[in-house]
Amino acid sequence: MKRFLLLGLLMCIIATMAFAVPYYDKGNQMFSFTLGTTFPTFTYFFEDKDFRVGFGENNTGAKVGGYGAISYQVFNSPTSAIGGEIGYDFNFSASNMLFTAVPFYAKYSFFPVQGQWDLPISFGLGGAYIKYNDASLMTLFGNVQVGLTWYPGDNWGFGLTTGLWLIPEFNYDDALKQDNALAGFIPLTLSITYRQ
Amino acid sequence: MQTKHRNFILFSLLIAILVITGCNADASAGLFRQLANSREVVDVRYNQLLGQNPITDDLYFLTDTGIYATAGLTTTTASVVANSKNKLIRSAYYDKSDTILYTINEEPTNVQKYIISTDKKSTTAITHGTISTITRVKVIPNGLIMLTGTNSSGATTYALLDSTLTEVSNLSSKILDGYSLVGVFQQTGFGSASITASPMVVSFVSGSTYKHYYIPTTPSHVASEINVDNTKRIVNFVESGTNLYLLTSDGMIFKGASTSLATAFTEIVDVTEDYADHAFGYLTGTAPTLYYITKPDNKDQLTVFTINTTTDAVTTTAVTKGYARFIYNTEIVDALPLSSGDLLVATARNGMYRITITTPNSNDDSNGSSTEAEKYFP
Repeated sequence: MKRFLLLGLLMCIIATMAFAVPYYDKGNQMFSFTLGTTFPTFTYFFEDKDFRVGFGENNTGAKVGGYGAISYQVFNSPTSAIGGEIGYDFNFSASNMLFTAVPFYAKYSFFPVQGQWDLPISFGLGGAYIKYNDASLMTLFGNVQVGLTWYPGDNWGFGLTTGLWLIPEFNYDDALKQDNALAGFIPLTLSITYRQ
Repeated sequence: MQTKHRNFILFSLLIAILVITGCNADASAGLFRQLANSREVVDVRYNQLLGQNPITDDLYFLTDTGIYATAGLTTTTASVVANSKNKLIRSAYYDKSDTILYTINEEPTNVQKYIISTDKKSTTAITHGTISTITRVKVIPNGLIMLTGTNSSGATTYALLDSTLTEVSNLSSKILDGYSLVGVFQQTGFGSASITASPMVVSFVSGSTYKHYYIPTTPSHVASEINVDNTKRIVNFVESGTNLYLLTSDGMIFKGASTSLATAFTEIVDVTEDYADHAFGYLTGTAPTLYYITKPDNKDQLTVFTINTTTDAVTTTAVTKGYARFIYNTEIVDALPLSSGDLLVATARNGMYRITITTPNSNDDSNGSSTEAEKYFP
């Protein structure tokens, strides 16, 4: 059933793309403010193949958190845009200590549906400064996101976005190598976008 | 095309720099490991397990809000002596019957005796023949009282008294002017055992030079200085027969004989671990194989030293499963063996647990068991 729904959605997108007149031109720009929440989804420790899923104690250790960001994108073709985003994420741990991440990354977005309704599919790659307790490091950051934005007028739009963030941790100190890991978060955010 | 290449190279360089500089040098463990191992904080912050009344089974313990007791073998608790603002009970002694001895803020004028059955408190006046000015009074969990003060010449002097204020041991005759008290140690799990049942080690420091004294169980409990590297800070000790094992803050174990303290103690193991003052270090097993279960400060694990008392060979095992599954990432403040053979383990922020240890040095779920936080009694 799910497969049929997804297939139907994909068909709709392809049909819309095939018959739609592109709304955007090369050089159009977007500026977005984003606010929302993040769900700690999994942490995988490479050394002991320990896969922790879910919130809180005995899982990822983190609770549902918050995220805020600003992003800028410019269209390099009628259907795609490039730009960047910088944000701030926080999640309290089971012991009520604060985990923070400051992701900053380059972003590529594809707009198969555009106009009054935009459906951007985005890929991001960059870095993140992460900190928890006595540990802090600069690391890589990657994400894939899909959103839906409604523009009641020409310029201002309101959107809902979700996706998956991936944050690896590579330690070069021998004592910490056993803790190398990959963490995943699912964001769910609302955004206000100005386009021109 | 050239611009695209340049952008690609610049972006690749940025990523490479991020990966290379992604160091976490000052961390005690990996960031996501610390996060994944974080534990729910419970309301009770334990300081000390005072003991269990053998008739009623009531368990007495000290928290940061005062002294409490359970109603028999249940986790229903009631306040016995409450702390008030700026008047904190730092340590206490329970005689396992009807009397609790404690000090407020370790002040000489605030040594209190509390009779449980009559709900009566009295203040005990502390005096000492040698120490003319008493500056600090500490009630030791075994019922002794440690005095800090100065003698008539102004030299810093220490003394150990029993609950009747009679001097125990000869500590006051030791020349310790310029030395500060850094630790009064009892074997983990033997906090409430009297000095005739379990020995003590008392440590002092001047600058970075330590003096450690062993106080034996045999009267008159003569304090003898231990001949061990005087740059080492002792955080725990255990005794098996006449073998004395000292655990240091930098993860070394020194071995010597409690009957020959002037003979230099020898290092039998050195692990790259940090241990906090009064670290957890519980001894189980019997000679020739001892299991010294410890909790390092800088690692989320219990470290079990398996000691061969004949050869002094030591192997270490990190344990996080089975009996350690809920305590390996906590700050353990005290432990108390129960008559059932189980061990009560109290933590600073994560509650109390009752653990059963069957195979101390195996890191699997069959090495024992543990109750969840605050479910220490049925």
